[in-house]
Amino acid sequence: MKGNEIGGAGDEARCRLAGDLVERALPETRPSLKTAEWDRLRDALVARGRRPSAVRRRRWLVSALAMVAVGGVAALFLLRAAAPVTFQVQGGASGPDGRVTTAPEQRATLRFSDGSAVTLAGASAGRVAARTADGATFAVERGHAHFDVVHRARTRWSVAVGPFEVLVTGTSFDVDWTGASGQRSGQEGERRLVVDLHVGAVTVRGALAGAGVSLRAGQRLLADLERGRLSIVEQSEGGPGASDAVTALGGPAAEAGAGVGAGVGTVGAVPGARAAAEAAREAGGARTRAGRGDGAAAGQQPGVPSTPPSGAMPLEPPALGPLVGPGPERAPFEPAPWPAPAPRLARETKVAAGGASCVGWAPQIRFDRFDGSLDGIQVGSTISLAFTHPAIDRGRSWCGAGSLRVDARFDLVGPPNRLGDRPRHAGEVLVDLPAPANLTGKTVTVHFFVEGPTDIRFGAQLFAINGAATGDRKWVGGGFTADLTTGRWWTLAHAFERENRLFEGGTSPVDHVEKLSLQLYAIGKDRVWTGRVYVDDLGWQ
Amino acid sequence: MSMAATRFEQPAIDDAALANALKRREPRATVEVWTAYSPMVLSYLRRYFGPGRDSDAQDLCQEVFLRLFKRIDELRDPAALRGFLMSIALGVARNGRRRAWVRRWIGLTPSGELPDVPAVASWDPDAREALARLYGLLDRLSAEDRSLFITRYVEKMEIVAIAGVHGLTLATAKRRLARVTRRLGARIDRDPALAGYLEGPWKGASSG
Repeated sequence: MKGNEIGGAGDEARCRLAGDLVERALPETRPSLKTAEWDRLRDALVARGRRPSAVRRRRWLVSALAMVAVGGVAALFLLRAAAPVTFQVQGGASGPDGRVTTAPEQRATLRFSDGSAVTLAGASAGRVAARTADGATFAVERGHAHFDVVHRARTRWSVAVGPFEVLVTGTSFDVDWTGASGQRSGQEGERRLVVDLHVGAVTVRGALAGAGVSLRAGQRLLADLERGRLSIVEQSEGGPGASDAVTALGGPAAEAGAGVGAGVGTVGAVPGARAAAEAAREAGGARTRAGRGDGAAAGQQPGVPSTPPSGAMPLEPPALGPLVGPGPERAPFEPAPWPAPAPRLARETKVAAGGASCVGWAPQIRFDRFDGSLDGIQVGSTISLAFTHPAIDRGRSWCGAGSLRVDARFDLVGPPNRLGDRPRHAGEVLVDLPAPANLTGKTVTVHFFVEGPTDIRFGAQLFAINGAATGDRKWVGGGFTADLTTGRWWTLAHAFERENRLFEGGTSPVDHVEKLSLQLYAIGKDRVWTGRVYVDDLGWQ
Repeated sequence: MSMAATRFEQPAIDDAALANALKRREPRATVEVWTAYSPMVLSYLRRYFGPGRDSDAQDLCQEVFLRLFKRIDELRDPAALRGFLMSIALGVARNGRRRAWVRRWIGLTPSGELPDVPAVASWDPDAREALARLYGLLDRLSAEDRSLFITRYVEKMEIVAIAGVHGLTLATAKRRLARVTRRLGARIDRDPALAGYLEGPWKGASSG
């Protein structure tokens, strides 16, 4: 062996070939820098030159002292934060678990140390589900409750009621909930929520309310789970007898068209969806001026049960046809026809796992809007066959009332495909966009949940499939994420730039994206497993 | 046998002048050093981490230059700018890999594990498979051994230069390189798919 040789000749030859393979697979590329990154680099050079070491030492000292001060404040803050609000119960019957029930002619009031109060009307039940320094979560199990929440800078109050959650900052409102067995009305199977907002603002989310519907003072929200209807009533100041403006938001699909206080975003990036939303708004507006002679909730007394929802609201769909007419021209992501299929939520339902993230933005593609046809959704291709049997699942969602569920079967069976992978090495959900979208500068997000063995690991990646005038489609990857686990929701997000690197080399724009894809890969030691994958809320902003 | 002339030593740049300009905090020097050496640094980082980790490599590439600018006064021999930069890149790469391990251990993602190659590449599937297997073997090496392999067999640096950027004596560098070569060569030999690919038709096409 000459002076520059190392190892055995065979081993070195193999290493040299391996090195050539890497060199060929990962050719030299020139990195690009944005202006801000350039500035950062330049500043790193120039800034150091301006700072003599003595100045740096003094800055270290100042920084250290500042950190000590900040640490002290943080410690005080944490100590304060550790003390949750307390409460006292007056009236009713209270149990050790914080559950309070009232007899038909009884009333109970819970007074909290932050000044807030909850009043349970007769024949009602609820409990303090959680307490923090900034508020509490009160679960209304049945009946009627009135809330007076004192507004503070960091107030965090919420009301859990059936599959809904009411987020509160500081307000006065009533909640009326007819539970799963129709305890209040005696009608088996009725499940209705009524929220009357007197002062302030709240956001109702979950189930029919999806990512969140905001209410203003003077509005009433009615949700009828059995009929899949969600309505908002503008209660005029005319008192009883005045007619109210009713915005029928339809089923779980219709929030996109909610022009009245809806906290959800528009679907502006998808022309088809935007058109559908506008059509929904127009259709809703055309029939929203429904007269109401009972004048129920306006000016009602706190703590007094409101008029039963069935008598107060036209919950039956008026004979005005569907929100957006069905037909062959209907785009895949339009709201479902009204009346929408009523979501049957099982007792163990886990809808709206997204929590606070569901408030304030609605993704362009929400799978609970799909009807049974699942147009525009493909699972499986020649290179990824692990997913089968797509269906809308109403029992689990990130936000809203459902998600896309697929059966997953990963294994090593079958000959390697043209890319060298086993057919069920990967699973894929491919979603057609109703119209090509420009995702330049946009962050694409998708949420998914995997049911499967607890000890497996898997990887995932988002792709934007960009079409070109030449017909050449580029799969622009959003970066591989590995070591994901089952039993929890994951969020994949990727910000696409003007030019995006391709795995096979080169770059591609994302200015004409026709499809989005979520791929899951079996990785690690155990690549043979079965389970279910739930995908929800695919969108960009 | 001698290794081919390396890209690492090719740029016709006056390192000493560039290093002195950096020491004088001349803003144009940042542009020049980035233009001259960022492809080399990025290339090393991409190859160190393997396919599918481009964004990590891009980030770390900037980190390398940030460190260079902050530590430029430590460079005693201005003519050794390239070696100095490369040694910083080695340290950043090792730290990056260590952080990936920590992220994995504390349950965050992405992990330090070899990511599976996405199943949508138009590149030669056999090469993809071979590359994945090779990085699987590299994952079993220590950070330094991995770096030794990349600098020697991919970047094709001379042993003297490898010793310099790794902070090793020439004898130690030779000894460790021999050990890495022996171990990796044996592991490749025990992987029929990888060995078969490396010894197959591709060998003549690409190495010639």
